[in-house]
Amino acid sequence: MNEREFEDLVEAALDPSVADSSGAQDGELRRLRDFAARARRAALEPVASTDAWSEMRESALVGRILGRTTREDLSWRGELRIVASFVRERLSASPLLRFVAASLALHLAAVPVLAAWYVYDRDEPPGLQISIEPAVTDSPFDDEHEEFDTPVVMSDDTLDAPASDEIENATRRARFVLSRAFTPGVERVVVAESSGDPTVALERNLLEARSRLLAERAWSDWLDETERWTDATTLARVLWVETLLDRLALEGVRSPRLGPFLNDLSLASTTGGEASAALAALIDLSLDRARSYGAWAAAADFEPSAVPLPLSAAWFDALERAASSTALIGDPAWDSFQTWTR
Amino acid sequence: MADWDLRSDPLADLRDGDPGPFEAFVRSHARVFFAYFRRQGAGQHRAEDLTQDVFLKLYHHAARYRSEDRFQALCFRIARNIWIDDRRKSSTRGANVSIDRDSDAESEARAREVEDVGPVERVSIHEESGRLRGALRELPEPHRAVFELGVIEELGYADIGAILDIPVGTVKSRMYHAVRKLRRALGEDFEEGAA
Repeated sequence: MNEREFEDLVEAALDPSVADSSGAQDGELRRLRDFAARARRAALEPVASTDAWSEMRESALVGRILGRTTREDLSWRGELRIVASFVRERLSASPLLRFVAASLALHLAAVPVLAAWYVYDRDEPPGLQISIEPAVTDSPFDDEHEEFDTPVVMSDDTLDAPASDEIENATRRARFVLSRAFTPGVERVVVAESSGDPTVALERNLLEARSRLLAERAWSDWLDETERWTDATTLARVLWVETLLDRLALEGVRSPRLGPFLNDLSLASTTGGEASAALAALIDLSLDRARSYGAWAAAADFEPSAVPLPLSAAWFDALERAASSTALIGDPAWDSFQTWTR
Repeated sequence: MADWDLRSDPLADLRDGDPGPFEAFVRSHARVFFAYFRRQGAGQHRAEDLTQDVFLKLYHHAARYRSEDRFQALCFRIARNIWIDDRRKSSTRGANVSIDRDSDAESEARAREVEDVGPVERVSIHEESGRLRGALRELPEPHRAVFELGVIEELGYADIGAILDIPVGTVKSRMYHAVRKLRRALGEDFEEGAA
């Protein structure tokens, strides 16, 4: 037999449809088939008998295959399985990736251990501490708040003016007093031009103007003019300045004549005697009042809160003493003003 | 040539909308492909993965499957291609058949369950099986591939040729040389040897 014949014989031996008895080579045919059976058994034997591939693993493999084919889970679980399968394939294909994954797992596992060691290794026992902290009183915005709230006080004649809040307080107090200075139901001072002693006509007009301001917030424009100031007596000038200061306290309006009038008043000389002393006291009261409103220069130690309020008893007493030698005392306008304000 | 004892073509049924035969095929033949990859030298886990890949490829091939295709040949063609691709990806795997030598001792108990032979014959069979596996590992890869598909998997020559993409004549020649070398390893030979 040549090689080709042996090839055919081998093919016949491996073909189960060919019968054993097929002629002269049936003996060889049977030997070849026996050899094939032995070879098949030898090749399959280790794999078939290995304990490693148990029925459980085979079942698990079948489950995985079906899970990705005919029984694929299209829900999120299926997606998760695909991801897990991908991760598994990547890890199995790359030793470096396995090392990185193992390192990451090791670090993550070490975190709670380190945390526990850190917590319990401290001298102070760990625990939750609850405390109430006092409110912060100093706000970083306080300065800005004060800056915006504080009014800017500009006084042409004040060099060492009191603090702005003291001026505000003094002004507020005066406003309060002046708003309640008159007696309700009592007619304010109304002066007829021809009534009374003509020597005190200006004083009567000033009283009337002041009462109109206090009762009606009505302003007599002639008070901002200097026509009658020039010839006015010192007493009249005191009454005039008091009215201007009333307007400053009540309405915050500063007359352009206030500064010059205060200057004139401060330079007024008084002769000796009780009337002069009282007049000097009136002048001082007016100047102090002006200082407390920030309208006149004040010393560094000046205290606005110490200045008597307008229309005080001391002011009325001083005015009576100062006017004792004039026709104002006993004038109906003066009597009416006292009645109206007291 | 022996063929798988399948009632129907699983891929044809799957293509026609019936997944039952395919599922039955998976259950009955997962071990076949696992053993195939193990014989090629794959580790257990790798053999499982490659087995899964075979069935996945078959599943995704169903849409374009033609009934005239030999199903068994198609399966082994896919399995072989998967193995070749896996070898290319991993340079640590050898091409030789590396039956686990350590399992040889454990296989003796299995052999006793399979064959009712005496102890002397069992030792003889075990020794012969060892020699056969050793000789199989020594075969050149082209010859071993033909021998495995033809003898162990019992595929026909036409199928083997289709799987390995070689002429049937080449299959016959390689099979002859493989059988001859293995028989000589057992102290056998063809009568009236010609080559």
